[in-house]
Amino acid sequence: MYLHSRRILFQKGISALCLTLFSRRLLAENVQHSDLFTTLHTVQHDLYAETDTMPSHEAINALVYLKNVLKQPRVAKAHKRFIVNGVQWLNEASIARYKKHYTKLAAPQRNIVLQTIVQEQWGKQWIETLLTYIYEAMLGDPVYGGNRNEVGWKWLHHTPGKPRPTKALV
Amino acid sequence: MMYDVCIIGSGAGGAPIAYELSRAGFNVIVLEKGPFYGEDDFTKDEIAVSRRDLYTPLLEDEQHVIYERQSDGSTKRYVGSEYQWSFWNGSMVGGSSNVMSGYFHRFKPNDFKLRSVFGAIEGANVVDWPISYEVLEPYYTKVETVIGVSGTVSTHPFMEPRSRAHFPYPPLAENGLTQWFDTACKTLGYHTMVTPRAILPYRDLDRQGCSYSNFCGSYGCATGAKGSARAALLQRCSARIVSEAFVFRLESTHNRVTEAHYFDKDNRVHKVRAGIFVVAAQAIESSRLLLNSKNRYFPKGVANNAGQVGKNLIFSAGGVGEGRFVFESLTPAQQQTLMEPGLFVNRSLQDWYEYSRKGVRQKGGTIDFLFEHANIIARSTREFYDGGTLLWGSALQEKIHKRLTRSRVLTFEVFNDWLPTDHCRVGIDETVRDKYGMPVGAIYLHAHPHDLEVGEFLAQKALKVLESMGAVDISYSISSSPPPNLVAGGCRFGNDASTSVLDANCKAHELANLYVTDASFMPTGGSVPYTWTIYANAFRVADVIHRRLKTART
Ligand SMILES: Cc1cc2nc3c(=O)[nH]c(=O)nc-3n(C[C@H](O)[C@H](O)[C@H](O)COP(=O)(O)OP(=O)(O)OC[C@H]3O[C@@H](n4cnc5c(N)ncnc54)[C@H](O)[C@@H]3O)c2cc1C
Ligand code: SF4
Repeated sequence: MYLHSRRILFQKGISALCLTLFSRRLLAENVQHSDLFTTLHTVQHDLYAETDTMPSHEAINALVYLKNVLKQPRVAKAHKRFIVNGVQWLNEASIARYKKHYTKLAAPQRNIVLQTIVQEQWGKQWIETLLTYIYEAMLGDPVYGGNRNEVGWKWLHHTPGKPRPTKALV
Repeated sequence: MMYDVCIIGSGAGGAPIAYELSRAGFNVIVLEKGPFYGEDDFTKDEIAVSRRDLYTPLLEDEQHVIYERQSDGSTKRYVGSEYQWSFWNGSMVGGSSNVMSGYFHRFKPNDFKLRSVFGAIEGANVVDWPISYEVLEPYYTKVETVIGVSGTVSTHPFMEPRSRAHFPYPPLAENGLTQWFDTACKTLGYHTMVTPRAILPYRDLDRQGCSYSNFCGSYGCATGAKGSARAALLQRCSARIVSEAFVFRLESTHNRVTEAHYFDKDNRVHKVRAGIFVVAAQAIESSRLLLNSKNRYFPKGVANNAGQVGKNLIFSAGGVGEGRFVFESLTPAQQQTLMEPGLFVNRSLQDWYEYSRKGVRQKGGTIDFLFEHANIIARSTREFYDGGTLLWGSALQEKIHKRLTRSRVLTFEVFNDWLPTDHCRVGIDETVRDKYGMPVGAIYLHAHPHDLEVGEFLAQKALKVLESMGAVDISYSISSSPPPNLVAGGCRFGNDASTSVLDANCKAHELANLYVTDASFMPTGGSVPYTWTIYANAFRVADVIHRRLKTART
């Protein structure tokens, strides 16, 4: 982040992977809107464990945050499509194994589905993407809708930089 | 309206010209493609600034096409927007200097004569500069006072000569970890250096002092303490600044640029006439503008009849490394010191700026030490993996909590020469257009294997320091992947018009009134970050143009 860091952050392979997937698989336009967010909400709960000592789901507000991300012009369209398509592929994996949609499974079964897709390159990338937005919601400035009462910052004893934003800029 | 000087790009390369000439009473216009942000606009918003790259164009709108040379000599093509590979740094008034960290080093006298001192290297186009360190020295000094550089002059074997004994500003406040660093270096026999910073420690020059905001690099400075081209120069002069003005073409006769054509934010075209034109759009975009400005006198682009524009693009070679200090091995007082936010480490090593390998004199480089960036989201997301395994749920949460609350990472950055070669250059990709309909820049990438050897040598020295300090989880990466923010070359200066674009004064050989003053002029890049040298050289060229305008007036 200072001078050389983009060297390590930059991952040439990843978006190339998304593009190949788009070209050979159906776009998930047939995923119903409500199904889409119900599934994403369930996955977010499966990826983040609420405990007494950690910020609550409600305070992180990750679903609202993710919905906003999907509207942000500064997030590449291909990346947004990847998030949405991942829901369809997740359900395909879920049906292949249990003949049911992901949200209809019990928690241990859902975990097995996640453990299955993480073995595939798209699955690993998709889970990582969803995790990233959970942590953005939890640790970004509250102006973006997450991190209510600065719970994430308090959890990690983080002092935010000043001046803080007064409104969402993206 | 006819301006005396029209400057394209308002960063470290353009702003000194605007500052000097407008203060001398000349009529100066600056055309800048980005918006005008002032101190009040800058916040420490990690989402907007660091994760959504607020200060650079959307790649879907404006991008580069990258041609990476492979080890078998073939080339792989990457369209920037498809691979999210960005070469933009800071599109705004003041350019990337708004978001720099301000680690400032001068070049050394031998950086101006690499070819004579170290000899030729096969496959590399190493040449001497047409000017010496002695010519630039007064301008390095000028930067210290006008931009504001703070620090302590350290003694080490490769310390450059200085005309002034001390920096005009004392060093910034330091984290107590620097004492552990200094002790370790003493044991190892290394000479520690206090890294000079382009940051004011206290209020001066109509700017506030540093507030130790803990979010410096990548972020705009809300106090004005950081010596950005905007805070230090453009806000303190009367040059007319037109923001959101993308210059897409220079019009010329056979020997003079006559007009700069730009799109405003509503896509309307405007034309600016001036006596002298200065291009400073950062290395890649300056070459692109010249190459895109073709006409009957310059069918390959303005100033490019000798075919030199875009050639010998360079970056800073080297890489990064880090070590972690964990609570388990520290006393409670040390733990508290370690976690203190805001204060700087500000230590560098230049003991191996030159060294000997198998009896042969080698050019080495610089190692800067600094805390890992404070960005909390970035520090959390880097914990997602344990080895190759992606973690989630409580396993991940516990790991993040432990790492971020009970340890802190000290990083180092290695800077050495990226040797100029025929395979690293700027061109135009006619098949991809930006949102204005202009062909985008093509970046041809190649790193000479020698760069990696030197980087590796330096990294090993840095690792010794971290080990000696008691850090754990030590790792590093010396890479041939270019840092987009440390870019130079493409319009070399030199005395021979057949092998360079600019003369020793950074005026195009082929035109009477065109100057290029960003880092494009550098034939070799030294083994330090460039900005102090960009500023110094731009002040030097400002003097040249000033003399010329004065003569023309009288
Ligand atoms: C995160 C970060 C940290 C850094 N840290 C350091 C550091 O610690 N030390 C150091 O020495 N350097 C550092 N740098 C590098 C430093 O910022 C650059 O070396 C320096 O700012 C380059 O100055 P420039 O004038 O060449 O380019 P810029 O500052 O990029 O200015 C070029 C300007 O031209 C504008 N422009 C481009 N094309 C056009 C066009 N066609 N029409 C009109 N305008 C145009 C751009 O928008 C930009 O504002 C850092 C950079 C970054 C991004
Ligand atoms: S106040 Fe200091 S630390 Fe913060 S951005 Fe400005 S110079 Fe950097």
